[in-house]
This record gives sequence, C-alpha cells and structure tokens, in this order.
Amino acid sequence: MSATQPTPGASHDERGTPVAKTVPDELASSTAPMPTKHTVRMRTNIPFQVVRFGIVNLKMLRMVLKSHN
Amino acid sequence: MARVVVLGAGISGHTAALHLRRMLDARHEVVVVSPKADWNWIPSNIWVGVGRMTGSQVTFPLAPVYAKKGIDFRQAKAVALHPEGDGDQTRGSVDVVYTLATRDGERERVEYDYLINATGPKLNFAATPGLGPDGHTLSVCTAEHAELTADAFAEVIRKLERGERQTLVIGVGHGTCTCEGAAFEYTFNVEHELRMRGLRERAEIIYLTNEYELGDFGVGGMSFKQNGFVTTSQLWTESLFKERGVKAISKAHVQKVEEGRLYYETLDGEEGTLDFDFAMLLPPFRGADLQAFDRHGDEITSDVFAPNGFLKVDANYTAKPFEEWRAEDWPRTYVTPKYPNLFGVGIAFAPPHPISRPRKSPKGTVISPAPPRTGMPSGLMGRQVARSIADMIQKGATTPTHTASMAEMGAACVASAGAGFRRGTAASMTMFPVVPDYAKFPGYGRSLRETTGEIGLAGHWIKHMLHLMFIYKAKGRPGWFLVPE
Repeated sequence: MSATQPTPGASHDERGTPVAKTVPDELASSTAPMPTKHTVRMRTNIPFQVVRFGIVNLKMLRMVLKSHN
Repeated sequence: MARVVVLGAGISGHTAALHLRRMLDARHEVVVVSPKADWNWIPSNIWVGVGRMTGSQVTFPLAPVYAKKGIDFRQAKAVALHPEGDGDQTRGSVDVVYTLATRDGERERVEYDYLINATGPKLNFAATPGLGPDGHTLSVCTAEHAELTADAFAEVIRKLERGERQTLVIGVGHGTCTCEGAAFEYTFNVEHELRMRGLRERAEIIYLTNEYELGDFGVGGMSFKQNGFVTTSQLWTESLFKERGVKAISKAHVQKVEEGRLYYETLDGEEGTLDFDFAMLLPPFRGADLQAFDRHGDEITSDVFAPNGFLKVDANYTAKPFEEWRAEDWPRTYVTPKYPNLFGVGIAFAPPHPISRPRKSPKGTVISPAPPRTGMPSGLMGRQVARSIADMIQKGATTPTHTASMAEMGAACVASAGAGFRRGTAASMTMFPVVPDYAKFPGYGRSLRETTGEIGLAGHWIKHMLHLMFIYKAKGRPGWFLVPE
C-alpha cells in the first residue's frame, strides 16, 4: 500500500474516495533552517554533550526550584 | 482520626498518596483506590513501543509499595461519588467496584474526610470509529498497548528487511487530542530505529496531528532565544522534520479508521484518506465515568463535573473568547468550589479552557489540541494538594494552604528523538510558565530566560536518568521525597 491524500480534482479509488498518489509534503515550503553537518555531528559528540548534560541539568534544576517555590 | 482517599495511582495520585503518608501521623488513614495493579512510568512507554524496553521495565506492582508504606490500597474502580454523604450519613463517600481478581465485581462504599480525584484520563478511543487496539490502530498510552505496538513494529521491520515498502502513520486520532509530545517522540524513535537498521529509505513516515502548526504541543508553541534572535518551536520542530525526512499533515481530525486506511478532514476544509501499513494514533481523553449524587440521592454529576467528565475546581469556567483568556483563570488550589474537602489533580481536573487557540473546520469540527497537564505539573499538583490537606488535618487550616497554578509554574520536558547511549538524541525543553501570562511577560507570554530548548545526546541521557529517578521515587525508596516532582 502507499500513502494517499486527496487533492481537488484527484482520481477516485475502488471505494469511490478521492485520492492522490503521494502525500504532499507540508514542509516543502517551510522556511525552517536545515542544520549544518557540524551541528548534527555535535549533537552526538560525547565530550560536547557531557558539558551540555551539565548545563541542561542546571537549567532544569533552576526551573524545578522556581516552580516548587 | 481522618481518612484521605485518593482515587487513582498515576503520577499525580501516587505522588499525593506518598506525601500524605509521609506528612500525616499513623492515626490518620490514607486510602488509594485504583483499578490498575501496577504503576506505570508513562513517559518511557514510547521506548516500549519500539522494543527498546519491556513493559516490566516501565511498571511495578503497587500493592507491595503501599503495604510497606502503610497505605490502604484497594484495587477497584470508583463509580459514584457522594460528596454530601447519603441520607443520614453526612460523611462524604465514594462507591467503588473491585477489579482485583479475588474480589472482581464486588461493590463497596468508602467513606472519606478528604478526597483527591486523580483518576487520570479515560482513553476515549470510541470518539473515532475504528481507533485503538480494539480497532485498526495502535497506542502507547499504557504499557500493555505499547507492547502490542512493539510487536507490530517488529513485523514492519521484518517486512522492510524483506525489501517491502511500508507506510507508517503516527500522531493523534481525533481533533481534540492532547499529548502531541508523546506522538512526536514516538515518531522520531521509529525513524531513529529504522535509520539505525539501514531501513529508512523503504519507509514513509507521516506525522498526523491536530496542531495548527508543528511545535504547538498543545501549549500554543514556545519562543526561545537562540544566537541573539528569538525563534519559535515551530521553526525548531519543522527543522527536525525536514532533517529526518518525516512528512507531516497538521490541522487534521481523524473521522474514522478502517483496516489499513484512515479518513480525515482538515481546518482548511479538505477531506481525504491515508493508507497505512502501521498506525499509532493517540486517542482523545475524557474524565473517568464517575457519577455524583447529593445526600437525597439526586444526581448532581453536571454540577460537579464538566461535560467532558473532568472535575470542576477553583478555575474560572466562564466561556469567553481567546483574546480574553487570562492566567488567573487557571486553578491554584484544585479544591472544588462547593465541597472544601474534594480536590481534583492531574488530568482529572477540568481546565478552564485550552492553551492553544481553539479552531473549527468549515464543517464545525473542533480541531485544536486540549491542554496537556501531565508530568511535572501533574506531580506538583499532587504534592501541593497533599500539603494543603495535611495542614487542614493537622493544623486546622480551613482553606487550602498551598498552590500549584499552571500559570505560575514551569515545566521541564525531555522529548526523545531516538534512544541509544551513544547515538540517541532528545529535545530538552523548559518553559515558564506552562500557561502563557501576557500581562507578566508581554509579547511572548513566557519568560525568554526560562524558556529554552536544545537537541542532543545529553537530552537522551537526561530522559534515561529521569526514568530511573522517578521509578526510584515512586517505589518510595530511601530519600524518595528529595527527588522533586
């Protein structure tokens, strides 16, 4: 089976339902930036992530303490 | 001697029960009524659903924990509430029906001095014909559902390994669903598992959501400071979808599901179908099926509960347009307006309105996320209500002494985007407050200093650490109360 989604004027399947051949990619027109190779690599770079682990935990701890008070 | 009854043993109810037992001396009783025998760390169910964990790694039996703590556990389902008592009996009570195998179906009336309704959600698969494990889609809402989903996902992997192409649809199964974050997590865990196995090219992954735009997560989206600019969770989330090649259909309401095919409509008025080989769609929630009666036996369910079955508490339920919503509308003490000894916490309380802007399709179908109230806010409500009740019992307070408004608390959220000690990633997010307060934080509704987000392996380590910490805490192991909610 393949994913289908209707578009105006699309053909109909055996059940009479309007269908198109592919799922339109809503994100094709998105202006969201793609990460660079460096950014993606750093997301799993262990020494860098050890540092981020400490920083993110501190941020979360600050949030938790603020909310508990 | 006072008796506090807690209905439900999820994150909110279990937290309240443990704190009450810790704070109240032994003369007072703490009773927990829950239809389920096990506690479940639900945030890790997504890892069960891809086969990374087993059901037993995310659950444990409640009875031994409660026996050790001196909490009276009744494995039963609450069915009727008598907040004014019944006839000559002026003490409030709740009728329960046992689900414990040895007492299955037995009905009992449990009297209380204080009641906390923490029944959580009823998984309303019936709202969409064909939705759910009894229909044609899968779920990760419970550990049992997640194990079934893992079996189906393993079958998808076998087909991909044989060279077949597969279409996987993951998201929400109704226009009013909440918990889009869990659907997001499961989407990217599936994508990660397939990529790690070298099977990604043969799989089409489609995220189907009721969010108006990606990154809404039922909280109206977020704004972050990043590299000297203010960016949005929409751009941030869309970036991840583009990078991982996951397609998205947003603003959608699933009308019905048949074997291998679902029908949906969108806010733009389009109607269509989507064929799938594998579909994990979360259901909408409603309150537990609890009826309420006054002391004369007349039904007062509609006075005590909102139409969606959630308990009305100290919120402002006046219907008003989005532009007039205020942070002050949200409840602070979670006590019901009419009964000072009846509280509702976690998913069981009725929110005054959504957080995301409500929208309808041209046909009048509501397609906008319900407000999330799980995880950290849920645990915090349970603890604060427990503290209020302890003060009312032991210090003679006549009104609740502690608050936990979602408009005054923040939340830390770690959304997994793939598991693995070296290759895993997760989005680590903090937001303050959960409910935007445009009077206090003009422009964005939240503190830009306290609202943050980043993706990386560190997030995966944190999510795994939270898994271990919260199961330790829920088991009531030494020092459990030092682990914050």
